[in-house]
Amino acid sequence: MRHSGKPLSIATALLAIGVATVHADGIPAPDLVAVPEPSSEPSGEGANGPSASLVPSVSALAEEPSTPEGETKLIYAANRTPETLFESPRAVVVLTAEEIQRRNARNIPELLMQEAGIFVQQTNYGGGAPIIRGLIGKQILILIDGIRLNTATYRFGPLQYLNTIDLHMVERIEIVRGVVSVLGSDSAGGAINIVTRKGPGPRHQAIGGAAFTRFSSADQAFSGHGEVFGRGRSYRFLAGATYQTSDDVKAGGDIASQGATGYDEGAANLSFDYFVGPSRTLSLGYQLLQQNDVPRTDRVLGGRNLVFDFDPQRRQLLTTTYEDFETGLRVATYWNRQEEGRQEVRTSAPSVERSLFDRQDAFGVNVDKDLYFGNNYVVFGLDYAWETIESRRTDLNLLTGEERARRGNWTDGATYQTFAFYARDRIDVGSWLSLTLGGRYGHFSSDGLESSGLGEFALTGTQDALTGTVNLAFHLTRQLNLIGNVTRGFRAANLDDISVFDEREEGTEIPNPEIDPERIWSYELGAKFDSGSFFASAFVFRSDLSQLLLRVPGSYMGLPFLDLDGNGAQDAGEPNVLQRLNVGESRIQGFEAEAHWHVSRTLSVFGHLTYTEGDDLTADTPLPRIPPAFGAAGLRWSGRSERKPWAEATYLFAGAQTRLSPSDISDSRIGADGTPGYNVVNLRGGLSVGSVHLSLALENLFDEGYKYHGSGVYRPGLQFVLGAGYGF
Amino acid sequence: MSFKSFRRPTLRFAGRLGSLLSVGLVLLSTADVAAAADIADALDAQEYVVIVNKDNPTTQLSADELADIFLGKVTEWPNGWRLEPLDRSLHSVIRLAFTKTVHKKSVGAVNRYWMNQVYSGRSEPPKVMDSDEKVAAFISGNPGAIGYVTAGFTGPGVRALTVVE
Repeated sequence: MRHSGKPLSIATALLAIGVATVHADGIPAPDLVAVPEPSSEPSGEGANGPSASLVPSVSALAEEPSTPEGETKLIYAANRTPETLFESPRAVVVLTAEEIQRRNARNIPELLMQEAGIFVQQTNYGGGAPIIRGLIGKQILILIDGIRLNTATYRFGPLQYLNTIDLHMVERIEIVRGVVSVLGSDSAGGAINIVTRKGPGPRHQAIGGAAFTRFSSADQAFSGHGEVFGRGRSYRFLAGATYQTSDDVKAGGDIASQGATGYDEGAANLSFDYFVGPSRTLSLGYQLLQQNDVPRTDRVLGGRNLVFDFDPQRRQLLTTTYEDFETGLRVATYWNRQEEGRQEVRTSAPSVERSLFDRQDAFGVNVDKDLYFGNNYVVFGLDYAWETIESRRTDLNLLTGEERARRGNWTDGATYQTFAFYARDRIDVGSWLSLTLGGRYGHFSSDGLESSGLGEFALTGTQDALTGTVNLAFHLTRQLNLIGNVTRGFRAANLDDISVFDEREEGTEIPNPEIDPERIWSYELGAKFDSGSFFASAFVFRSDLSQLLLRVPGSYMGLPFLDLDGNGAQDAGEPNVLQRLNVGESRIQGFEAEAHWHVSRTLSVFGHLTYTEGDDLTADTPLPRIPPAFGAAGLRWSGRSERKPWAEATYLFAGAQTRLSPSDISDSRIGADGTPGYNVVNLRGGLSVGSVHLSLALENLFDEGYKYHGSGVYRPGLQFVLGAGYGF
Repeated sequence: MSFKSFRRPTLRFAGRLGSLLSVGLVLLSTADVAAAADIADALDAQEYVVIVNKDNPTTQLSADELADIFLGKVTEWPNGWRLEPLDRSLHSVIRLAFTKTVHKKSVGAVNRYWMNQVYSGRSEPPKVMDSDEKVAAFISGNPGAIGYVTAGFTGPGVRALTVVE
């Protein structure tokens, strides 16, 4: 008789979990990291300059790890509940309002260029796509206040949509590197949560306002932002508007001014919170951003296009949220609309102007709840979204004036639904181990009808996927955690995968609604150390991706070609069938390390280093767009006087990237020689004078001509950047 | 649905990982039972008293009212003085005892409540003091302050407040 070890394993597991669960409340649990407590002084000047920080200016407890400035950062995105960076068992980064202000970046993608583990590719100056752990595009999940920005038409490759969020409305940015199972699909590489600014914090003035302006010399970029905000006993609000314009960018070194880079942009945002009770809030938020005439630089400068403009690039987000901190319930509903117009004149067809327009409307609801029992902290919830797309194209003959309607980028009228349920339990086993178990079930359905001259193709299909995560954090000391994570993730095929219809030289690609989600197994080992004055983290990771969607020969009605006349034989004019099938495999591995040391109350040093290697196991080649080794190092001085002067020197570096995939080599943005490395030095400084905050930066001090690997545009050369803000 | 395609390797891996984790958890949990018992004993023995400024006209509060004060739901005394609750160190036994009897929740749950408040910019947690002396010193200089100290502790400028169920 064979004995199976399974019953013993199960029994042991149940016993262990039971013992862990019934532990007395009196055990000091590792998750009891101090909540940032109020500063001893009212914050008149804060992280956002003279307008005063609209989030409480806080200082951590003396007994808990904290910086000399008393900074304790919280992150929501890793586990859908606020936790400190040290407490989180994930590789996470938080950019605070103060850091955002210091960098005075032109937009969010450029703000992230200095962050550990994030490499930003720029196809054009209006773009900026984050690459995290070797993945890009629809494999990176972008959230705004926890609400998904990714739509069902997000495609592979660089996407520009992170630049459709106005930087002026951003309070802080949270980044999680690696799969986030409780957030579900699209987070194979990681997640970026943009936390927007709300009305004033509890210690701030009743009504006020602020104005900010920025100017940079290399691109003649000017931006102006104005806002009003206020707080009463039962409400708070903030409303702002931004205008930004930039000219063509002058790069460094021998690279002359780059044409086809400048564009205009306008944005507006509104946030209103009604305090239903001391622990309950009803919120309303609205955001609008529109960019006009954003050139696609690589296509124009590369000669493939005479004209290629995104016009307009427009995004709107309307949200309503109810939160009850006492019961741990959060309910959010949203409408997410993204619109993209495109005008193209190709060099190969100079008499034809293509006008494309795509609109995605997503309606969704998220419900989250948390609760404690014993030593368990459980977060669970559900997400639902329904999305519809409009996609069309019109070709105008510039010579005859004739217009012709054509298929847009996707199947017009297609819909996509997602439903997911997730749960995450953090179990504190004694005082030196935290175990987090998480899972998410997702159900995805597509619908639509692709009508073409070659026939009609239905997009009806469903996908189901189950993910899970195990996070272990060993608390060796109060200051040192050792971490091990195993996560199974997925990326459900979206409408961009399903609704493709493309007549190519080698055949016609037709929709395949029966494809399955792509899979990923992610493994991490890491450590975090936080003594208050010194913080460091290091992770090694490996991601195994399978069932990747590749365009390969497929079949329709059992035949490898489109049998238009139904005779069972491939005749002239009957193209081969191409489809996206789940046949790809790849592996990505690397390490990330960062450290920040407050040498004294005024001086700090910081640095980070990231290395990534990716292989396409199916084709036996490197994966495309894998960044080179890159990092940064810097020194910051912060004065303690009333004017709060500060100064910073930063060194950004990257190695050359010559390990290329075939698509890299054929990509005009990269080429067979790959991308050279770079060494860039930036100097920044600022101070406050009364209600005015000033900053000055000298960027790319040595005028290096460089671009990020995979980019179609070079970075600005030596330039000065002025920033000014005024609060009232 | 391709559930079958990943079910077997997934469950096999989960089973192995679960076995390893199970053994580790049992060992760790067993080793920590003794520590838990010590803390539970200390918790049961811990007595505390709520104190206010000697000039504060309020003489008693219910446990629910006290909980509301320390959760920031009440911000003023009946006479209009601004309330300033003082909490104790996160890992102290006195805080565990206070939280257990007044909030009737775990310290982690209350901590998480404040994390959410701070994260949303809505409110701020009470100041934290790490000794009876500091609590008393602060309250004696701030008429609206309220805190809790070890039973039997005395200090100038403060007096005990009766807490009723």
